[in-house]
Amino acid sequence: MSMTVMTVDDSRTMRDMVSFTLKGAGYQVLEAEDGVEALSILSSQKADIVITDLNMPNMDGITLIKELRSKADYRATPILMLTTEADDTKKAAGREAGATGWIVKPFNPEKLLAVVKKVGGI
Amino acid sequence: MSDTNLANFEDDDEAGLFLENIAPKNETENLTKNMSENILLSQSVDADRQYITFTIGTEEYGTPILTVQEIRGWMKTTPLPNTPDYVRGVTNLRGNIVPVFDLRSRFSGENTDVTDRHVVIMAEIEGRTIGLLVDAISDILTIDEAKIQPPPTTNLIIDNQYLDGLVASDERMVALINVSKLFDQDIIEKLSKQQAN
Amino acid sequence: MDQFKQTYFEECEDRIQDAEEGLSMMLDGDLDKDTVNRVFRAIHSIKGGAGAFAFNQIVDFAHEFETVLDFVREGKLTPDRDMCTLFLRSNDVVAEMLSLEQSKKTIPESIGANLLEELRTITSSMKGESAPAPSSEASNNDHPTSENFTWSIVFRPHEDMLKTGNEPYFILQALKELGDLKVTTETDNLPSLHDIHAEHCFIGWRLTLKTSAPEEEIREAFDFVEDLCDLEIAKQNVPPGDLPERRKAENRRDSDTPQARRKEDRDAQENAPKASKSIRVDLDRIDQLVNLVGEMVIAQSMLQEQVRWLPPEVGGKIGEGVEHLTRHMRDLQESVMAVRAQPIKSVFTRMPRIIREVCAAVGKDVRLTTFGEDTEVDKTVLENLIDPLTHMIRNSVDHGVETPSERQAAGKEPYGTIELSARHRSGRIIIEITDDGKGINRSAVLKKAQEKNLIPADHQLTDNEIDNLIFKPGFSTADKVSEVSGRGVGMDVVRKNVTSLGGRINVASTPGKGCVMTLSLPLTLAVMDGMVVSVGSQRFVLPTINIIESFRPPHSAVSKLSNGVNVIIARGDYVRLVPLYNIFGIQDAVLNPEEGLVILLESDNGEKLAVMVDDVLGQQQVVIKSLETNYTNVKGISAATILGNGDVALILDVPGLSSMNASIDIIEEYQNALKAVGQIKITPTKKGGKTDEESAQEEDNKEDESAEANETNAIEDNEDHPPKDEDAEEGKLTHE
Repeated sequence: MSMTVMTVDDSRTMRDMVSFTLKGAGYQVLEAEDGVEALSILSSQKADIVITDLNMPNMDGITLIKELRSKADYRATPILMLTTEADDTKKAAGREAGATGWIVKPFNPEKLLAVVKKVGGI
Repeated sequence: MSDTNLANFEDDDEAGLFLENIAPKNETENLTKNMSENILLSQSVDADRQYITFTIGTEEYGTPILTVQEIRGWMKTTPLPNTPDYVRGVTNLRGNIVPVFDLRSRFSGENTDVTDRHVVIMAEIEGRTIGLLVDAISDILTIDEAKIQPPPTTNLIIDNQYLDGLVASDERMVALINVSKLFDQDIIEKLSKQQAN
Repeated sequence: MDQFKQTYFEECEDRIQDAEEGLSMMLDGDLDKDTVNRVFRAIHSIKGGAGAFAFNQIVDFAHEFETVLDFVREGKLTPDRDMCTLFLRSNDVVAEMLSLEQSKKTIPESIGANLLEELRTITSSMKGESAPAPSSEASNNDHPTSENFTWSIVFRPHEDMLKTGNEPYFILQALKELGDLKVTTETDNLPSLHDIHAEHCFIGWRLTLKTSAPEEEIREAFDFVEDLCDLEIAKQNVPPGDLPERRKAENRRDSDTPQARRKEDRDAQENAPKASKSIRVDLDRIDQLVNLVGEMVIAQSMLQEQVRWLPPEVGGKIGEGVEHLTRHMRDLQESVMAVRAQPIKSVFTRMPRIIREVCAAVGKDVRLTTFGEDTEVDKTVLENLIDPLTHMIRNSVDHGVETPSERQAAGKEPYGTIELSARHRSGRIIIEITDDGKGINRSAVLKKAQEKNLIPADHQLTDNEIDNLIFKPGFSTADKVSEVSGRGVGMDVVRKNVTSLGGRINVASTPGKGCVMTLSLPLTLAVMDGMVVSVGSQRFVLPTINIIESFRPPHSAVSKLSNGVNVIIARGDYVRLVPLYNIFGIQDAVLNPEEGLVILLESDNGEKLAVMVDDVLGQQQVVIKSLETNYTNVKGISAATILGNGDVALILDVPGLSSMNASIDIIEEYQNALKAVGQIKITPTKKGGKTDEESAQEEDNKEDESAEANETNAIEDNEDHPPKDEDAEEGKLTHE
């Protein structure tokens, strides 16, 4: 069974790229534009891994991570956040919220797959 | 052609059925048999070497089968003002506005006197759908490219430059026409302008 | 990658607009967190994508821009008007860089160089006061090692590592891929079964890894857990002095204060309902829907036509049903078109940038105000509106508004004002561009038009006609083609673009006070209301929007000018009369103007025109089908449609018709026809059903004729300009 990854990003370009890369590697992909949409989709569908941007309208990435961690289904789900630089404050905030790890933008497809594999195990 | 007949054409999208309406009975049988054999054969042959042939008067012409979308009986057309004589007008092909060109008129300048027996070949040329009014469909031929002869200076009514070549089939001579050249957009526009002025 | 680039550029357009709107609000003093955040997010997002495509110049510039915006966002920097202007210009630079990248051009170093410096200056001054420098990317260490080393690793996860979704097993798996891994599990810390917590990690591992991979790669496996575990990585068989620094990260967890947490929850809740419920739909799918509805409109008119022939006892109920259907179809069609409709905002928001560009180039100061940004119009119309509108705005700044010194000399504010407004009016969208500049210099325009032989030298024109000469092909008001409005197109191209959309354009100028350019466009290009008319056995559709009235003229109302133009007196004016049967070469049409109908039209450029047809068959909504899909354009015809009976009818192009001249004398033609069939006397027809008043009106016209005939001489040479009806706006009646 292939794993389902949700990509949360308000940038369609980013969503498309993440989605394209992952689908190419055999993952199923769910897409959401922001935290609110992500939560609403995840309430009815299950994702094995969540990749979220941090800066988003309506609900940002950090809040999304906290929200997810407060749900039984997503207490231990790998959640990766996208950050632009090696921004330590952002990483710390993400970590505090319960993020599993991070992907530094811009990323290349191999890097993305490697990280997803690292946290997803497949 | 009566309206009921017209309805028949619209209902049936199968070339064979059309032909029953188009050609006299005995001819149709041969033709349909001939066509289906050819179509069967064609499974193993490159479709791009197949030509549909049709007659205008006593002359036989061919055009690549891949450009042909369907064949219909003569349908009512709405004349387009100030266009060359060979533009019979536009017709409604399932909601699309398609121009119908009179090939006889394009070749010889003499308009076809349309009857129920005339057919319109709907062809797709460079992304455009156009209708070609001809007298009748005659055959489907698989043509060996090597056998296509360059167009000679013939006494055909068609101008040489619109021919891709000539080919002999069962002692008949078939002229392969280049429809896109014949109805080149620039030429049409130029002619339309002349007409309008 | 290319397919993403397309998405990226599309998205960036929205982002640039977002940023622009936000920045404009900031310029007006709105430094609300949401506003600043919106701008920041936009630039941030552009930078992110640019990085992915290695648009390095964009990344560099956006980075500096973003850094400064971040100070604003964090409240460390309060931008004044000048700084906001700097931001707006920076945003323009990003937009320009994007458009260069999109057209695959190289970005010249010079672009934005000054701004980049200014942004950097702000950043360095900020850094002096606060915040540490942004962390730089870890430099690449170059240790190409192919040699195998053996590493001993101690990995002891903290209790709560699992809470972050990190799975020790996967980390071991990742290490295994690097080489030969031996694992020893430490269970010393395992509590008694009673105290075991499923979500805590109590075990640790001692690992021996034989690999050629450098230490970074090994550490990378622990990237996400460095702070969640005790980790020791050491190369074996190396002198002790070379032992890598033992890393031990303290897992600080100064947990969230309950207050903070609650606030965030509240934020999340407050924000949630704000998310608009929308989905992104492929335009092709919508168009498919539009086409389908179009087909249904045709099918429904087909039904409607058939019902008419049913006997009343059957037809009544069915007719009622068809009536309902017709109403619903119209609603359905409007709803579907509404899906394609978008607020004109997306076009309007491009304009401030255009104005800034032009202002910078020509040294002017212009403020823009916009109204009716939420007015909706079909997406295709919208897209086709960008170019003409851009050009008109450029023109207004370049030629309309004066320089600050000129303005002050004229007693005006040093800055000019351009007002851009949109509104709906009777099924069309009206866009007005009003400037408070110097207006059109009529004598200069007239002189130029005469020099260029655009009009005869002795021609009398009204002020409005002179103003509208600027739309004539070959006319350019600038003495020299300026860099700004130049670009190889003139206002004639604007008019051509607008006309091709079924729109019209007009300019009205008050010398010294400014200009109003008015654009009127149909709301959609897919359907329209039309009047079906017959000419001989053929049917044509006239756009209802162009129709002023239809009437049956008395014989005497038709006359021919000495230049061969047929005219008719309509509402006391001479209007060019075009017999459709003649210009379209239709044989079986009514030749006697008294037996046919004359339809008075107003063309899209405001000119009036009368066409002669046999009869009016009715009014209906028609689906517009382009002739150019499969054929080419035909003069006098704008498109085709399919009537209820399945026949194709041609839609007349009113502006096109007005440039087609009849080759005959209508009266003569008719009389010749009479002669041919044996001199039948002209009998007044009874079909007209005129009221006494109308007849009386016609009598008046007859009496006026001799007087008006004298005027005729004055306008004889006026081929392209039939006399104007000054009361056109008021006098317009819709034909029902």
